[in-house]
Amino acid sequence: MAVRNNTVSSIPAFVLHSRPYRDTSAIVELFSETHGRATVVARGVKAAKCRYRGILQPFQPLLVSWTGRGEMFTLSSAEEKKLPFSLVGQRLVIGLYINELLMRAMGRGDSHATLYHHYEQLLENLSGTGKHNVNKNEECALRFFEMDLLAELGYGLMLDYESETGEQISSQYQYVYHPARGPMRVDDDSAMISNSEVEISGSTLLALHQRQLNHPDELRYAKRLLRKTLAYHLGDKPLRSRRLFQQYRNIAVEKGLTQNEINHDN
Amino acid sequence: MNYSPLITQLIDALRCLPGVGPKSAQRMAFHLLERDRQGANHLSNILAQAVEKVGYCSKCRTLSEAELCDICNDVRRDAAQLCVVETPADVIAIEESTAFKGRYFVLMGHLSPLDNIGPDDIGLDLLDKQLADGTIQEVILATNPTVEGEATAYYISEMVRTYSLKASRIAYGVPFGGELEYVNTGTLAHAFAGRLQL
Repeated sequence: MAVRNNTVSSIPAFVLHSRPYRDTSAIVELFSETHGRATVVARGVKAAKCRYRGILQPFQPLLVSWTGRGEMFTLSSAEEKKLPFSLVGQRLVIGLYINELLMRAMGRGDSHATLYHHYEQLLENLSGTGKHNVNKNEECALRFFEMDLLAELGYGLMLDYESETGEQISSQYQYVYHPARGPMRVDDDSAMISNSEVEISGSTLLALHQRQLNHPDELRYAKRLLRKTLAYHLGDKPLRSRRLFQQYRNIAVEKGLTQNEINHDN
Repeated sequence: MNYSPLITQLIDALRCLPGVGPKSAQRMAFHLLERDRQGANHLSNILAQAVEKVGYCSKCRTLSEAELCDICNDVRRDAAQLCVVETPADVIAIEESTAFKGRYFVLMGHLSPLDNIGPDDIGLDLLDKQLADGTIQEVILATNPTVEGEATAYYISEMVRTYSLKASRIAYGVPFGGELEYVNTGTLAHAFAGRLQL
């Protein structure tokens, strides 16, 4: 296989994750606007005199350059494009969850420019001053990003038509959604559903289609639908940050805080 | 050229130290063998003893050869204030540069879901027991100002909140003697948001 030389110069990117490498270097997973996911070595990034020390952090919009060939490149420069998105509390854990999801979903070198903009938009929605729990709008933004991610990977949800009959989804009926086959109407409650399927109402499907989740029930079912669909397409190895989010929430549950303070889930 | 097997092994062994490459390892090995046999003996003795005896303080998890480290054992330290840090080196840094007279809790890392490091891996179960104890009044979160350090600080602040205790976070700021122009934007934004009234 021909190894192509790969040099990029000052392209917008975010750090998804980094891990220490040798004494002062780091191996950094980047999500770039034009080149998708890329793994780079940031040499001497922890040394005191490094120019880009401290800015290779998740949620910091960067302009990066790299050189090299093969699977892993060498970071040659990085600068701040604008202020970092400031994610606090639960929103920070959601940010980590999204990064983990993206690392799992994207192959190296596939360009995902649209997804990049959705990601930027999501971070914008999540950054703010709210100290504790996420609100409904933020949770919706997260669900819509998950939908965008699936669509970008070619697994977009089918929300307006039944897959087998081609009939329009009606808010009058209940459906069973299979991650690969889409929604199918069920007429009675005794229908068997498999582990990867989700039972969901027509009105929730349509609400998702119009991106107008208003009712707490709609949000809950949308979350369940997306969780199953993501697990189906990305493998059901549990996402670590989702587990962290649950542990985070359980701190409050164990100590008997009111349900009202803790009713948001990842 | 090839050295005799023991010399090669010594050079290789020295390379496990941070910042030591093949060339410096070779220099160290020759120095010990040629000029300082006594020092080498002492080093090997102390190293073997330290590796065998140094464990973790049962209270704050820092490195210590006793059941309790000196700080945890010191009755003059204020047990009502607890400072949470990531590494034993952070304890030394704070001891040297601040007048902090409380106790410490060393996480030996930070929360990092993508590296599969969860709350129990950094001793938060032990911390929870100590919070339940009732002696601690304030928890000072001195984890690193990185995304993972922040996530860790927030996680612990939630734990602290359930006990209705005070949690505080160390401030971010412009380095002393630095110039604003060269400070990165995130740091400057934080420093500005956290400005103090004079």
